[in-house]
Amino acid sequence: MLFNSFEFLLFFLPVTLVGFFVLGRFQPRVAAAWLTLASLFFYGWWNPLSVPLLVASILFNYIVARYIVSGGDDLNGRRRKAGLACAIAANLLLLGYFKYANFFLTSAGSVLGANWRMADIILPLGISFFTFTQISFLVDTYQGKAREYDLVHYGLFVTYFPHLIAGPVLHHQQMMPQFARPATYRLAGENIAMGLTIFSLGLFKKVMIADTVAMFSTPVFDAAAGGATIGFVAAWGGALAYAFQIYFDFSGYSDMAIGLSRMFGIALPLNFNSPYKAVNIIDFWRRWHMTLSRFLRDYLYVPLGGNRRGAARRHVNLIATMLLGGLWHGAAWTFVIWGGLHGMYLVVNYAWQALRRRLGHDLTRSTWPGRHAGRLVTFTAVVAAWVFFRATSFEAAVRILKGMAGANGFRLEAPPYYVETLQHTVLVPVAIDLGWELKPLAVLAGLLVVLLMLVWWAPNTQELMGRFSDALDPYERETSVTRAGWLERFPPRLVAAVVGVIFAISLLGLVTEVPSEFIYFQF
Amino acid sequence: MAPITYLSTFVAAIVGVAGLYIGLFVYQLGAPVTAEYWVHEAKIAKLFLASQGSGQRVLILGGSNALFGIDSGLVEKQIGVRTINLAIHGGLSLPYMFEYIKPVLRPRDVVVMPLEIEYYASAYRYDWFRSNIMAWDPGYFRNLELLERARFVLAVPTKRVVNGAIAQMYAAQLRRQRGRAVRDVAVITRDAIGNWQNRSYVGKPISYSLESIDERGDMRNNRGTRYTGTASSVLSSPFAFASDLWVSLENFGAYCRGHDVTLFVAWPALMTEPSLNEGNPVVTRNVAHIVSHLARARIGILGRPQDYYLDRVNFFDTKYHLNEEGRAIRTSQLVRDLRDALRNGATGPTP
Repeated sequence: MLFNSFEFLLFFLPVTLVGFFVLGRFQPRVAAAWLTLASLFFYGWWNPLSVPLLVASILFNYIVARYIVSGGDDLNGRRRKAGLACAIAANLLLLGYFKYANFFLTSAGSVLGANWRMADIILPLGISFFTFTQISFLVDTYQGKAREYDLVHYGLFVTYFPHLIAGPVLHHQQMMPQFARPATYRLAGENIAMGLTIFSLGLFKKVMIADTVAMFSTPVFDAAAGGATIGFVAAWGGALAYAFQIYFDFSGYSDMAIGLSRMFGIALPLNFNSPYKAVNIIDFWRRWHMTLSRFLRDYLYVPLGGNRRGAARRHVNLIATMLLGGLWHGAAWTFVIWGGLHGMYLVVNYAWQALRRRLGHDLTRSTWPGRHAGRLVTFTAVVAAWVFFRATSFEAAVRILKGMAGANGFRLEAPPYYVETLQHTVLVPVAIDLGWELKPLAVLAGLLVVLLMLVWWAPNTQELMGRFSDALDPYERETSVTRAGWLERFPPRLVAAVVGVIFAISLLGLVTEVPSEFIYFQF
Repeated sequence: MAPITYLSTFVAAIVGVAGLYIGLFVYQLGAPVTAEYWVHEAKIAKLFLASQGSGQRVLILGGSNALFGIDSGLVEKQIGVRTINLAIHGGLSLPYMFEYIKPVLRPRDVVVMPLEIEYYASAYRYDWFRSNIMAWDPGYFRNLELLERARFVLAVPTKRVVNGAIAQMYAAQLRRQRGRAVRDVAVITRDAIGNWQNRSYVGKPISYSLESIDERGDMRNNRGTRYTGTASSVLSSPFAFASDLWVSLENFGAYCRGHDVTLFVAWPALMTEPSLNEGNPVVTRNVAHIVSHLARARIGILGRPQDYYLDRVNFFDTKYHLNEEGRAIRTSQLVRDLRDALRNGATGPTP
């Protein structure tokens, strides 16, 4: 069940909300159990056979966590450490089997000239997310940071539907206090109003922007996968369109998750903070998929040694972390290359900062041209890396990058498949009957410029929501916005009306269309 | 601001947009978009045919498999009952077809419905139907019950509504340049009568138009491009059945019984292919499902599906359009089954 589907919006969400608050009036624990069961139903909608796996994973990790806690008297901590190591290994094995077994087998087979492949393995949805969530819980338990071990609350922490499939990656200590707070189970009109507003913004980003701009990226990547030569316009058009597609898709998803959770009175951490406004790649990773970045930093980069063992070791750690981060996204070499590219970008960025420090520059100060040059360079580097992320093969990615580099010429001409797609997706048939002319280049350029202006200069959701964003992200003080937001400059009734219109237009965009999945669902 | 006021305004805005959308939807009804206007004209002509004469009739109802694939003259000759082919297009919904035929049904009529297998599948989309109805028969939408109208509106893609609204704005230009006007019933009827009197369909190449329909409602000049596409039939795929189909059939069956009309469902002519062989459990399951549901609805079935499997050479243009030879073979089989059914009063054999 997708957030952008009618069955979710008209059936699942209202029923779950009503059940939660009605039960919460009498018995909060029952309400928490209801929300857990509803989340399992939500998860099972795709494939009911995955539900036992999720439940088994939850029970296993819960039992191990209790074991680690009960080993507190163990003087050497060996029992606790062994429990932690075994549980992490079991989690990674589960993830490895479902997500990476065939990847490694086929990769090894291709090196050895063999055709190795296990029977088709169906990847359980969200396995990467619930595995990481539970690993962080186990580590927190081992480090004594986890304080509460209520099974119902733990089950809800893992399965909670707004984050289950595509994040944000949650920390135990962020959620458990909220589940234990009686106020969570009391219906609050402000939560519903704010949640609906944030959700509507996210729905609009997904349905009206991401899904629309996908029409300009998909045919290019399909053509590249089919071996076609990609011209200059198509290559840049496809790459930029995908950069905007994934931006608005993930930004929309994150807003929808935060908005939904807010309706239940539960705040989720901020996951997306205008990443294309980043002035360098370090800044980018503090803004893109923030909870995953923090997970990789806390549970991979820091244990590897982080920046504590000199510059060279830091660079190795950075690249290793980003390579694994790339592999986390998908079992394909293109994701590994994407991660490797970002690792290299980070190394160059840190080396550049070190050089500037050596030259006596103050890194805390910047100029307007400097910031914008940095933003442009960062954006271009990110777009180039997205080509590997999106392409179905290394060869297809290279075809597009060649086109972007002008290896196939610089003719400003839209390819035939682009014209055809535009005719079928942008224009309505009667426009062709009436002889209205389509200028594909102008349509594409206009769209991309508008989107670029939006991602560079428009306020993001937390900036729009202003002081309400503190409730969105009470944990990350460095990103929280405490001043009045843009929307607060307008009469609330006007804001409500505009948001209602946005919501209704998004719904109209869904009429008779099969709702498209969020890109991050596949990870 | 109190949350309740905020939420009320939010809901009011949604209602406002919904109202505007409904307004746009109503505005574009009847707009001259691309559509198969000949279907409307065929319907008018066939209704005129069915309204003429007296006595018992055999009425054929269905999609183009019956329109192209039944020789009504042969049925009439063999059965000895006046036969009219009221079949038009497989894109029309069953409720629409039932509403279309009801006004011309008379006691003792026999209705034969060789439905394309797609009708039984839940995945069958009626996008073509809704788009066409909005273009040339908006009255059908206006006469639906409120709930049905809401379902209809929600099933039309937003893009189609925008398309219709633009077409409505430029209606005069489109009618002039593209000739998309919905002609008056009297004009259509006059033209149809003229065609029949002049036998204007004789010796002409196939055209999907009023001109190709003869005085029994059959589409003539069944010659065209040899069909080279896939022969695969829905019957051999594990499809999900459309639940609302059985309700429509049951209701229509009850209506027919109440008006002393005999109703039979028949099998469509299908292109022979390996997956349709009798040993295929999917085919067996699908056929059994159809038979049992029709039996429950007390509707008889004519013959067995395999009696209507025809060779590829008997089709043209599509896998459902029979040519002259195919039509003769299929009609002969249908006559045998219909004669048996009428003689035995059977509710249809099991497969």
